Amino acid sequence: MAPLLECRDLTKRYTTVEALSSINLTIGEGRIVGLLGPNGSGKTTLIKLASGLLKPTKGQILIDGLEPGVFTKPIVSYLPERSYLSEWMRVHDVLSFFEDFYVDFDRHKATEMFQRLGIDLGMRLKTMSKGTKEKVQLILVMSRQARLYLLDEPIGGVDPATRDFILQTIVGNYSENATVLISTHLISDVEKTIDDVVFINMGQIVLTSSVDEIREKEGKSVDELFREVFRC
Amino acid sequence: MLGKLMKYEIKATSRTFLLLYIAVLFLAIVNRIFYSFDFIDRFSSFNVLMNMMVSLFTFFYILMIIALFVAVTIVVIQRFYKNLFGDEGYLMFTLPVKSWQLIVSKMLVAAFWQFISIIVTIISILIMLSQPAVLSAMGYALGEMAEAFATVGFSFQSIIIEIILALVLSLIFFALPLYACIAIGQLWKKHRVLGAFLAYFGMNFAVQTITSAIIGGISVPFLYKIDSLTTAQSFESAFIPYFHTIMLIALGISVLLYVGYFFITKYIIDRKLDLE
Repeated sequence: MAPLLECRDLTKRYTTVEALSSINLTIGEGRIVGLLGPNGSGKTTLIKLASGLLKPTKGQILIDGLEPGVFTKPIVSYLPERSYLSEWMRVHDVLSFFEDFYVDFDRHKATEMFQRLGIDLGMRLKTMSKGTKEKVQLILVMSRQARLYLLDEPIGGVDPATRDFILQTIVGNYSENATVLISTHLISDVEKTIDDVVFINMGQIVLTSSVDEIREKEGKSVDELFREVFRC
Repeated sequence: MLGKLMKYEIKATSRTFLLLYIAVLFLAIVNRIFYSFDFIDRFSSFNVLMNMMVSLFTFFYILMIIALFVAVTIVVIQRFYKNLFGDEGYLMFTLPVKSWQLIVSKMLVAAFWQFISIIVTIISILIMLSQPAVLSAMGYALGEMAEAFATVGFSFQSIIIEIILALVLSLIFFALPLYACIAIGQLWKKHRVLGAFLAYFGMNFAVQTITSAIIGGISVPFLYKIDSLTTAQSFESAFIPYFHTIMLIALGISVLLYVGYFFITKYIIDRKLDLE
């Protein structure tokens, strides 16, 4: 059986810079993976390639054995690092939108989470703060029963209390054999949540390992190891 | 999925157009009320003032109609650019829909608003002219036209049908060349908007040149033939077939172009998509 996410010799070059340089990576089912690296290391590029928003310059990226396209999109739930909802919509509009297009979307679950956070369903996206918009998007993305969640900087722009809520939402909402790929540079916040780490720097995979392995072999926390590997 | 995409496309654009339609109809009604008074019969300062108001509001109405059709084009461009190649594209391109569905849903909704805008314009004109004398004159003129149409003979009728067909085609597909230009602009990573403009002017120039060359080349033998005939002969035996040929070739070229625009757009989205 094909792995859930596989990169073969994957290269992405923008006009002048090479964002990813022939990386090889395999991620299986049922893991929470931290895609960790400093700013500009290629994290967003990798996630955008996996969701089909960018095309590889060379090599391949495969989701469940297929190139990103109309067959992989139903099983991938993607949270970009920016606000991608239409400003004119109200919360109940985006709920209907997700329900209309994704068969795996659980409207009931999303509504419950909105209520718990005190987000009014009649509220317009336009009037929301940046942090609230991020929460709305995360709730939508996590209310799908996808097989692969691609979360680009889900905790980048929010306060520590919200970070906890977001991480709880992620852990509490993915099913047993689904995989979550979280990109971030805030290592200590996600350390307790993730099973595996992928260190990425200057477009190359520096290290892939499970968190337990790092603790056993190196006797260090992921945060300590990260600081060591990426020392400036 | 196409239907769902169209549903949200209409939702996203309807507020703009409903406001514009209300404005057009409101101005038409105001003008209708002005026109029902006769301010010219007796010279007074009030009448002069009212006459100026009538001219001013007629002018406003004309501006409003121009604004309506400019708005259709702007909304068509802005929806395609912003919703697909802006931040919202991160959602639209991760939906489990095919790229042709994204293009066609937007194109059909663009045609829908263009069509409704034409209808609203016609209704507004009818409101302004809704005086018994004018309406009956219009009815009479339409009747005359229908009668004339029935008597001109088959070949002339088919020319009219061809013209109508060309208009309908351009109504349905008018968004496609705009989409193709926006998509081509995406290939020039650092200047995507400038790229779209250059693509627009370049494509227009190429299409104009090639079309004129083809039509010109076809016209030459016909013109020689017309030249050698008497006036009475030439209309039946040369002008009509000439018109037919030109119309059919023009229709053929525009169908080919629309197919081309569609596939350029689809190809770029499928193979070259690089969202910023």
